[in-house]
Amino acid sequence: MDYPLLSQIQSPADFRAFSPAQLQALNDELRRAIIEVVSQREGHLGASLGVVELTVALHTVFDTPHDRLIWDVGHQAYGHKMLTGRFHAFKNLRQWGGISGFPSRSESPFDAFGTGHSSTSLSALMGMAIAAENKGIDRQHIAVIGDASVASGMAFEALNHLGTTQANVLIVLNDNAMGIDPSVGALKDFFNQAAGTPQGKHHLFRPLNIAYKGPIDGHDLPLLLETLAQEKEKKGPRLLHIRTTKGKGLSLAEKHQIQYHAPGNSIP
Amino acid sequence: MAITPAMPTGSGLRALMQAFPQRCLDVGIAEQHAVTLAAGMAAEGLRPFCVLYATFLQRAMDQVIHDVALQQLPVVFLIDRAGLVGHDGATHHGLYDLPMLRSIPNLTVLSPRNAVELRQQIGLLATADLDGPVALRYPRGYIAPCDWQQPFQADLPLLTTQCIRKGKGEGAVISVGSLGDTVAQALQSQELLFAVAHYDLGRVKPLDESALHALFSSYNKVVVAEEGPLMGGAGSAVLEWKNKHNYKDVSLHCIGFDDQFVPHASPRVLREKMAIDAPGIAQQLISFFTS
Repeated sequence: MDYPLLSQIQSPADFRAFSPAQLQALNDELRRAIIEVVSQREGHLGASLGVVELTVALHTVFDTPHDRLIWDVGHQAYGHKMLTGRFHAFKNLRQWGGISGFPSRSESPFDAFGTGHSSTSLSALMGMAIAAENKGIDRQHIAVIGDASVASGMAFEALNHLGTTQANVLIVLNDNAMGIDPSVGALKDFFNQAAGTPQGKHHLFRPLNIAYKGPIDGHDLPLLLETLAQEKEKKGPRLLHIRTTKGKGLSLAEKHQIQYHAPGNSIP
Repeated sequence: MAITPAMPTGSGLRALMQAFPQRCLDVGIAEQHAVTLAAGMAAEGLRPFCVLYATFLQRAMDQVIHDVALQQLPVVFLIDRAGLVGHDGATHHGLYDLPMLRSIPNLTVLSPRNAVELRQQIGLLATADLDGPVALRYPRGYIAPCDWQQPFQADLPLLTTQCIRKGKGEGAVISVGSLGDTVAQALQSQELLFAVAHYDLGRVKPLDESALHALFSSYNKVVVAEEGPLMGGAGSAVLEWKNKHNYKDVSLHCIGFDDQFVPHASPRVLREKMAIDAPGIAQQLISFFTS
């Protein structure tokens, strides 16, 4: 298959000046590439498809790798890797000597922190934000964390600390109501309700001193670009709640989200 | 930077927090967060010290593996209350951190013998070039009066295996950490042990191989004594090393705890019951060296 835009991208600097139409075209190529790669190499499909628009928008708006971006769990970072100089390396995804299926500091400066297990991103990102403050460095720090991962104890440990600081941290809550299996618990129900209230009026994070915005449609690229550009101008602990569909763009993957979390190489 | 998950008073960090509030954080009962927060700081070039009790580090072992060691981040773990803690008992003894840490690649594990060594190593680790995390273990309790406030030595190496007392026979004891004082007492208490040499292991991982080669070439009966479980502990490390290097003429005996949880009692009573007070160790040494 042909990827006229994607195959030319060495780093996000190559597309930050793209027109909205070009960004949309790049976005569509990225989604196609993820499906093609996973059908050949196996790996995590659903999560990466769910954050295609978010990936394009984050790298367009923020000055990565100077701005730090951490993907919680990391299995959704295929698009991120393809946009950060590793598109051609994807033929060896998860093979001996090839690129990893997860972000890795030894692989690229765009992988600010290695992940694999869930719920580590908020703590690591806070450490980076505190380090930036300590060294007088001006930059943004962004974590993308799912609704299933933010429910873990470790994420709450970080939120509990974050709310007492001015750490310059933007949390993007990627709410797709799924882990590998459907998310469970009261928090999931709460996120569902929040989606129905105007601007999450009664939301959980504000009482923790974390500014809350959302929920917004995480597949609306222009809206994401606009919203993230606003967040870029802010400082301090804040959370943007986006709603996405795991497996977005591949109808079978959207319909059978558990099977398509990490399918074998048999995508029809 | 110093980070502690809700142990500022117990760990002695309180004074540092008052002196350097920006560089000394209590993050609450959040061991996992504390460890990964330190990882994030280390990734950005700071030198975080993560200060917590051995028993509570257990709660953050995945963070030590996945967030720190795997990425070779120079986080320093100050592991307080390593070994028996006394009356708090089985839930609070610091016995499993060492076997767990020892199996993790990229990690250095140090067990200083006394307060002077501990303090000197902390000074060293604050600025040393490190290519991975370092764990420094030390016990609960008060130190005996000593001249601990010595100037920090420049160009100090990470702990090595040191000879404390030269021997005149075929036997040697390697003690781990602060158990060294008890072992020294044991060796002086019985005439049958006067000829036995005494070494301090110092570095549990990676082992000080050149010192061990010299030691295993000089003695044919060696004991490793530690206040911790036999399975996976420092003695186990030396045993694995001896086997790998085929010192088949040296017999090695390990003193430590059998595969059981240790209950509560005063530290003195516990050490007596577990046979790692001076009389208990002396008896075990005599039985091994005279067999």
